[in-house]
Amino acid sequence: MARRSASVHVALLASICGVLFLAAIFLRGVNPPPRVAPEQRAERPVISAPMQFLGPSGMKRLAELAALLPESVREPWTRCTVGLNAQTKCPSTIDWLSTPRGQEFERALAELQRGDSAQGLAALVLLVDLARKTKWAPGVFVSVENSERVGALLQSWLAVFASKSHDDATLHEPALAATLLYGRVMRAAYRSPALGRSEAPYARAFAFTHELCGLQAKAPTDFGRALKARHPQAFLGLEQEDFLAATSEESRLVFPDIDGACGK
Amino acid sequence: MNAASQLGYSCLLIAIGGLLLALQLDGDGAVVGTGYAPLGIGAVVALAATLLASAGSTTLPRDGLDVLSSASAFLGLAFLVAGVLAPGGSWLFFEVFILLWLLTRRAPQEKSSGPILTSGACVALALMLLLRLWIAYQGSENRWQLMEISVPLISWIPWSLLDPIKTIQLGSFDPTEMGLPATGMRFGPTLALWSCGFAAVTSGLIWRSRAAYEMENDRIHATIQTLPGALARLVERLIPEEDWKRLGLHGLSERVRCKRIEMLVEKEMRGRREFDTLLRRTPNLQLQKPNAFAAQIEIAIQGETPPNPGP
Repeated sequence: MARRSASVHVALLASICGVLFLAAIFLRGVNPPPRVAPEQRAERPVISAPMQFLGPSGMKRLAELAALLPESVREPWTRCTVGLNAQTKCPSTIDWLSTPRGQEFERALAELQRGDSAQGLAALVLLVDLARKTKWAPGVFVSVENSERVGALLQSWLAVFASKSHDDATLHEPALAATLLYGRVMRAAYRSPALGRSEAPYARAFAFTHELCGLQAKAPTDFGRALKARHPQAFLGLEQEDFLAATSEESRLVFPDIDGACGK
Repeated sequence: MNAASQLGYSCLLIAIGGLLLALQLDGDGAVVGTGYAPLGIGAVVALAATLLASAGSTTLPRDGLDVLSSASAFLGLAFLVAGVLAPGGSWLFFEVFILLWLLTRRAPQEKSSGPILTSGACVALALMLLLRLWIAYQGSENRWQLMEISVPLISWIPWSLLDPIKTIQLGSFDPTEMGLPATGMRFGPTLALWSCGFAAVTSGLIWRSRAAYEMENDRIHATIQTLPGALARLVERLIPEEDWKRLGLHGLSERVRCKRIEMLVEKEMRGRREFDTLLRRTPNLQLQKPNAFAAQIEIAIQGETPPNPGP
């Protein structure tokens, strides 16, 4: 009886070993699950091709996006967007923001940032148009405060929408593009002095981007992983000394017409 | 715990270790396999080491547990080598040659058959594991070289023009070559998995080797115990347990083992009888000028106690 019990015991051990050995061999071939970006999913997105809204021809789809906004912000948003795009001069950012239209712009922006994905995209459209149609690149007649202001507005938008954009078909790609633009604007700000560098925007952008992407904790956030997958050069560059150089470079590819001087 | 159970548990330990060495965590936190390429190299090294170390051996697995034990030894060695080898780079070939040499080296009095993990082999494997962990760490930090050395003087000059010659990179590699996942690697959990796997397989292999030796001895003992009690005791006096492996009693079938024991007993008894005859025929030498050495030998042969030296 004892001998039979011992045999059963050994047979049980041998069976477990066999299963574990097979698992140890087959699990070696396990590949990571394919990464599916939100816009690649089967379900139809609320807004198709959202990056078109951020391009120079975004105005052509203005009505489509406006229809998704609440009535209270639809009119102000439309006025601001049309007003910005109708500008022929190239005022500095701070000067334009101090006009009545600029103040309406900031109020509409604040209102939109409390809303859903469509409102988030509408807010980003305003910000990108601001970067496209006003002068913020530091120069002889343009102070660094202009680029810092654009950077601050982009930063507050990213703080609200970026962390939840990794799973949002509408905001996934626009949020990544906004990060690139933010990097470019902030780099322009900290490289603005003719001699040396401006430390304040550098420190602010460093802390923000590292927290946003999870580089401080050495564990990338969902947004950090999305940025790494879509723009690996920009993500890896965040750990370099000139940490926004790669972001800025990629931004030129995504927004070739935005140069901080209205393309003039 | 008897030897069979010990053998079973040691194989279980090897299997668990192999499972841990087969996994890693990618940058997204997903469990990913470590790939078949390292296992292929490990299997080749294990096969070569097994063949070289077992040259001249006639032992065969005799039951299911023996088959499991042999398979575990082979797979364990393959998992272990696959776990410690950096799966690319020029250093891979040196690592393979060193491992082959270390795994086939064996002392003449070595108890177990097949490749064995000597202390030297264990140290070499641990050092190779450290190299692989270092490479994995560098990869997880997006640094694609073993180390980067700053060139003195040049690296202190703050001109970006000199950036390409400010540092020297040693041992460059790329993620595909090293089998790193596309999304990067979570180094901490992966380090824990591989270290635990290495410890489990190494200790499992050593344990298995000792348990297999003990189980073979148990089988021979069981065969001898089928004789009547007094005769069995006599046979165990004639053929002591420490010599069973050396005399080729391990790994034999029941029938061949009986035949071999019969032959060994006959040979041993013949030798003893011849010696007794020779001893009876040898006259007392009565050495004229006995030196101490000759006197001691004679006393030993005659079985007399040596005279007590006086005060």
